[in-house]
Amino acid sequence: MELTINQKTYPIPDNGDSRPLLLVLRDELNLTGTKIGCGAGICGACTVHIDGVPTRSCQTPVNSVLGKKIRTIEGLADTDGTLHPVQQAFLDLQVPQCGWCMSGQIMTAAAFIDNTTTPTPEQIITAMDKNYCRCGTYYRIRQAVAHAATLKKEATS
Amino acid sequence: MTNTPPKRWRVTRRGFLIGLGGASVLTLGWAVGLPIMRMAISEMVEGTEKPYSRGAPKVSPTVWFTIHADNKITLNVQKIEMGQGILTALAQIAADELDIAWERISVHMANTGSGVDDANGTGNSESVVSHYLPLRQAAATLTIMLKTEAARQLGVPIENLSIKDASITASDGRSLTYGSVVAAHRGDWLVPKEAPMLKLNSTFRYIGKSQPRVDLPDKVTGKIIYGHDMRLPNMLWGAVARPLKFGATIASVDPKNAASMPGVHTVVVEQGFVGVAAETKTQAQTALNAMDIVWQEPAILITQQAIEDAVTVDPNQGVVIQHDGDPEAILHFSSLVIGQTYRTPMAVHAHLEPQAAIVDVRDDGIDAWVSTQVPSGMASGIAGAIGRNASQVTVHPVFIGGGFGRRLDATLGAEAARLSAAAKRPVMIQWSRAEEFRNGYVRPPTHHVMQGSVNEEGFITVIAHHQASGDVLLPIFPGLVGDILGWDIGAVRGAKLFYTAKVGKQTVAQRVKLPIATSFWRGLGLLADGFAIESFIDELAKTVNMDPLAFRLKNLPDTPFGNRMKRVLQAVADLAKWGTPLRAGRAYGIACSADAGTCVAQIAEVSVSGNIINVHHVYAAVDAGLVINPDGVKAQTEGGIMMGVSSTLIEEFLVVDGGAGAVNFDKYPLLRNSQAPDISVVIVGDGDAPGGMGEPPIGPVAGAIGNAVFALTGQRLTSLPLRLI
Repeated sequence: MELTINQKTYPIPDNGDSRPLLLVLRDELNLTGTKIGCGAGICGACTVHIDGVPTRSCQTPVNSVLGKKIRTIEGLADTDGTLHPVQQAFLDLQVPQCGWCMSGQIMTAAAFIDNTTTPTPEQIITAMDKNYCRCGTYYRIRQAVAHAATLKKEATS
Repeated sequence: MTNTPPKRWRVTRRGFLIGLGGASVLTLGWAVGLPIMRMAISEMVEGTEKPYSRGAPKVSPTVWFTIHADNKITLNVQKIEMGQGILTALAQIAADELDIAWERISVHMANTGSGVDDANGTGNSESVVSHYLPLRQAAATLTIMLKTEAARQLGVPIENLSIKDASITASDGRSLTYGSVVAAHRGDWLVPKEAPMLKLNSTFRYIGKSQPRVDLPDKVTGKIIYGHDMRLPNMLWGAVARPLKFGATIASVDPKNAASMPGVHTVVVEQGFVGVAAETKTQAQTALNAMDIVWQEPAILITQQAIEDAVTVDPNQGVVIQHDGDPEAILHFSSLVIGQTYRTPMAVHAHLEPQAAIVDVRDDGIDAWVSTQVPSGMASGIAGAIGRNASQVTVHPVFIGGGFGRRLDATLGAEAARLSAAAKRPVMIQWSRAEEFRNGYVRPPTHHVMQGSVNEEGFITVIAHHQASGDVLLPIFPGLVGDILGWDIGAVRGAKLFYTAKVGKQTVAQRVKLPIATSFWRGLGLLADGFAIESFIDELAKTVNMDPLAFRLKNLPDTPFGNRMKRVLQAVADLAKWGTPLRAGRAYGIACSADAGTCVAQIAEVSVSGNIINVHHVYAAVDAGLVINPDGVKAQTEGGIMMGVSSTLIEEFLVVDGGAGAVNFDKYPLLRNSQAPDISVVIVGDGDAPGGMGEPPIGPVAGAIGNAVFALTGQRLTSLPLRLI
């Protein structure tokens, strides 16, 4: 079996099971940038992109994503190291505290501003509402996502 | 916790408390029989246990700092970064005193064998407080040592040298970098015994300025390594049997064929411990599940009701920890005396990174990578579990995905050590979310009785607080005198009354030993005590129809502390424009608290939809004395507020069927983004000493929200989480 992650191909053993993608990423491929929080699809720490759609990798059977494009936090920045606008915005506003939820927050926000180029405050809250942050950076997250959308527009204009 | 309707008590001049509006009659007396001697002892002990007076250990500058040949400097600290920005703050302090450019310094979380020791661990909001002066002294001493050595190498008198950005220049123009001075040095460094002169605050380049956090670049790219992310070659994964019910112990074990199951390397069955080490996590858990483990449950399962009954103020119990003037006069006082009871529930930490440890037990030493706030305690715990000496254990700190007081005990490392000792390979243990809920420790439940009276001029005449709480410090640090004295220093954080009382005031702490593990949680007793006291202060203000802000300003002492508190109150009132009309359906509530040398005041703006309480905005004013990193202070204020809002509106850990009432966030939700207020913070402190910031901002939150709800609805809610009736 093979997975396509961040435009690279990773062979993985076919155990004949439907183990979660998250387990494969973290424990088998050592791609530990994607985090585990609840293992139940509630907290959003494990969010990755599957064909551009933000997806809870702890609830995604690995055999359901064969042949699909998986993108994780490790593949979000450009190959030359230039940060994605969401990463840059989260740095600019000094959003993370402990940082554990941040891969999920950033992947959720990145997919969101791909589809919503000029988000309203309400749209931002709705988009980010299913990602827990126990350190309580919610207010900065809202500001940073708005800032990221601006950065992205500036970069593409 | 059952949501009992709020009760009101009134004390007559004969000293009986009569329940109003209910059949129940609660008799409350003052704990007058408690010997004042115990309070004196408690003050003495509390004084010695005060976190803010403890200095960092005095170690040599050569241990604190590593100076590299390329003139980069590493600061070695045994403080753990868990999101509070401590690495950045300490780097700011060091960079200023060393007189080096920001880009030159990096911070290393030192391991337990490095000579950098901090047995206090990381917590109590004390890292900056305890390190500020010792770190500056170490840096200043190092600067003198470098200058002395540079004088020798250059063959000029030390007076002829000047320092700028890690370079030492002689009056003849010759210059050496710190790195080259160190590289050319031979022999041991002589550390001067005299404490050096420190720089003037007016010369600070980094202290007091918002520096970007040093750990954030790797946190937005997923590169940073937390305990849960650690991997070692040749490592095994562990699984450990844990009870489903509180108080259950292993009665018998039949390992069946676990040892021969796929991937299984070692099965350990010892007294009170059953675990498996296997090639994968799934294989370890599968083998554990295949065993036949019989648990001995307590004869009577623990119930939520039993816990609440136990944590109930008993006027004949407790230790007087504050006693000023003549609070017993309340029994004879003629003006209106009111009483109120408050309750707060148990809560979990809900650190989003489940705790994890890799321990590698070898004959020649033991290495451990553990998400812990107390590396030295973890070393002892690991050693104790496998009959080795703590000096053989090196604990390597890792970044922590949320601490909040949960990462203080050594259980996790001890489990991994037992499996590694048996398997003779490194073993990783990762707790599941369900295990975190079922088998961790929780914030203790509390119950508070407040009584007080106000005279016609609006001055508090008497005020008293009797707090009952489960333990905080004692489960993790047994043997403290608190065990003998009968009160827990941690549980009473924020319990003492700082308002002036014309006649007298008193605080009583009642320790309750619970059959469920309770301990540290951000702020310890601060959230609960702040909720009870600051709600009650509003109730006192109401008796004389005074504005809650004016009432607080009037009743704070005319002391340096009282003036600091008045200043944050006034500052937050200015920030929120207290007193100007809000839009329809909105109301403000105000509260303040003091902790870790820091004063915080907050105003919450709330509305109500149906029975839902919405917190739209929280304003905060903070006096943390000398501020190292203003944006860090703001971030900690925001974080404390959000965690406090979550506790105020949502969180409640319940015992159900003798075990955890929730094993994941479906039944124990946390605050979400849509429920999170906007936050505005103003920093008003000054002075020459920093206060703590990790916990103080959580103190006023619940009181401010409860007071706003009262202002809006007339309902005085006395239990957390707040629920409108």
